[in-house]
Amino acid sequence: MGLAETISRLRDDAIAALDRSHDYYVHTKIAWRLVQRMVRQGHRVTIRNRTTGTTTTETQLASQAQEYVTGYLASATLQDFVAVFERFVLDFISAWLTAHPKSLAGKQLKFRTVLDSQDKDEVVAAVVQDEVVAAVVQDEVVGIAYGPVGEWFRYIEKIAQLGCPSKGEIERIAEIKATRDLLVHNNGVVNAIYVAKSGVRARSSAGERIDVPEWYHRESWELMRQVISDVAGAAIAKSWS
Amino acid sequence: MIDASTNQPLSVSVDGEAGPYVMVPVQQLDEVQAVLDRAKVRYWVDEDAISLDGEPAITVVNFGRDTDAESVQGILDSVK
Repeated sequence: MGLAETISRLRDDAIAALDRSHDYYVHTKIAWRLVQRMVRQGHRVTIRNRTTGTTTTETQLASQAQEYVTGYLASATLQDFVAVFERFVLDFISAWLTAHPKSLAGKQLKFRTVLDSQDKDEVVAAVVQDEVVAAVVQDEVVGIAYGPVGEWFRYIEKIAQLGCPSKGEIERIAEIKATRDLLVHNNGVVNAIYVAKSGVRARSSAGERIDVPEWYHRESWELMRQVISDVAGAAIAKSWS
Repeated sequence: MIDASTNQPLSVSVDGEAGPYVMVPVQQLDEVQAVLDRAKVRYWVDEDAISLDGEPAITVVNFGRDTDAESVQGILDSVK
């Protein structure tokens, strides 16, 4: 499979995953809104969770529904958007480096490869074998994955010179990723790390609980979908030229 | 403010740890938003509405966790 075809598949898979995640968000939200409506209309229901032994009545269920929608559901699907986006970016870098291994010229080779080779020609032959390149690419991508979002795109620009996404888009993605990190690691309470990662895009101050309002949830989804499409489109055009 | 679909006052709900919210018939949404905007209340509206058994479509106006529900109820109640 050529690079353009690989990137096209990564883009299509990522966009389909984002669409599925957003459909799940909307359908689940509507289901809970229906529960809230039906309880208001006087319908009664009792749910017994046989695993925890918890029994829930319609009154309790309605009171939990709002937290489920604006809390758990919005948070979980935002995290999923970020996971899909991150997977696309790292898979993209991996695909690009695999197709352009000269970008890795400054990287170190495992000494075992040298020891197992008879001469320089054999070392070079070993390097161009897919598994050697794959191992170096994997190390490179793992190193990038733990860095800040801005570094991801500086790296892409260094190896591929695509001219996208814009500075503003990168700042917004960095804030979204920082929000995701807060939700996962700090119970949604803003800390200094979030403020530092978000920079001018920070939405809340330290100590506040961060909300994931629907407009923010939608705009995050739209932005990630757009950036995936733009990066893939630019890379595909470049790989054809 | 009276809910046009039930003829009952619009009621701000506070459930669990989530921020307050109010269910609003879509036909009244503009009016409710105008009242909240005038009072500088921060909110967001669900981007979809549900019509159940042919009844008027209802949407949800959500407020942040730090919003004072009683204050919002007072603002809505002040509109006749």
